[in-house]
Amino acid sequence: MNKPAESIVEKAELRLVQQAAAGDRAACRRLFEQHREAAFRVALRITGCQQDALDVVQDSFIRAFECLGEFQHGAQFRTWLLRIVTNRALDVLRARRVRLAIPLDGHDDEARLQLADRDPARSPQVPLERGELADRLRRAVESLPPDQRAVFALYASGDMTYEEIAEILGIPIGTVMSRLYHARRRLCAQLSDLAPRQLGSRNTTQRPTVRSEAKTQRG
Amino acid sequence: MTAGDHNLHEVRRLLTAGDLDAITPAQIEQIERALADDAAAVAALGRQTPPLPPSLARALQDWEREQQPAALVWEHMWSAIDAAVLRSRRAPVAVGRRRLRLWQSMVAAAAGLILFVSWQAYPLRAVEPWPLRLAGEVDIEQLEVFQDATTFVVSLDGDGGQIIWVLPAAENL
Repeated sequence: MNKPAESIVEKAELRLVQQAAAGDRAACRRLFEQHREAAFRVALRITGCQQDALDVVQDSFIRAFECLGEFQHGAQFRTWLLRIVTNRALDVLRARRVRLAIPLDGHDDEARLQLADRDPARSPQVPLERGELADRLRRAVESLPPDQRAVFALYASGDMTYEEIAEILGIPIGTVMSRLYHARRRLCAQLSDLAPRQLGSRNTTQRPTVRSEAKTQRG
Repeated sequence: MTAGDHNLHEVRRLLTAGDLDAITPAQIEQIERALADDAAAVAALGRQTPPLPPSLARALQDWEREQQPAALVWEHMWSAIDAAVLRSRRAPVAVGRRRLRLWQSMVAAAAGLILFVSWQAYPLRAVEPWPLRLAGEVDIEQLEVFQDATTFVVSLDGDGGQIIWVLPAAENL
């Protein structure tokens, strides 16, 4: 998208946010329709459960619309909304951790990876359908500690810069890089039999894209 | 260029190239520490979009497509959101705010009343004026001269009470 087009989109969205803040229900609905799927995907990647993700999305939009007065107009609505979604989804994980006693500190990483390797269902020789691949990806993502899972959930959108991820999570860019690095390593270790070297292969890795100055300096 | 600088340069090159898997855990720790003090590097690397390998993107799409809610689910969700936001914008928040304001006003009024009553009551007891008048008859009952001071015990008007008066010596004045 070129700069003038981005600017038009941003102005249109800002106007929509202002109308929604003034109580315009149609504007609220349009914001909901524009961002509900991105919000759902992030919530799903963090919670790993459709029903929890739907609850998170609903709660997050209610919170966002109730607090539109707090929205800083220099920021993007999507960034602001995804921050609410991420925090809410992590709350759901924490509540679940209390019930299931899932370790959060990642200290048992190696032990968990070894257990995953011993799983006979994960033999590299077993051909897997795409549905099974998706299921194994879900389980692998669920095995990530919440802090890495949150970074991965945003990274998996495929269009977010390190800076945006850092802004949404309120952590330094170096920490985003570190958490993403470790999350990718764990996923590679668990899914390497599905597509050898593909998650991290130099041959298949896409070149990173760099956002324009105008985009990143906004806000 | 030191070995550390060279290593850091290499990590930055790999990050910029999107070759995350060629980086070692030690290098990622090094870049995390380095970025904490290098605003220019943060600005440059922060603009990078970390690459999503196609195989991972496909697997994610498959997973998310399976879980994608139907249009009716979105409609129900919108109805719930709309109703909740309307409720919060109308009665509950307004009543809540009114209650809060009323509660604050009552506390402020009570505090003011307590201050007023205390201020009224305290002077009646403690600041009652002490009538002053000249004594008609003054008797010195006792007088002692010390090195530093002279003390008097003085009787006023017969039974008008006694005063102990200490007068410092002249050199101490």
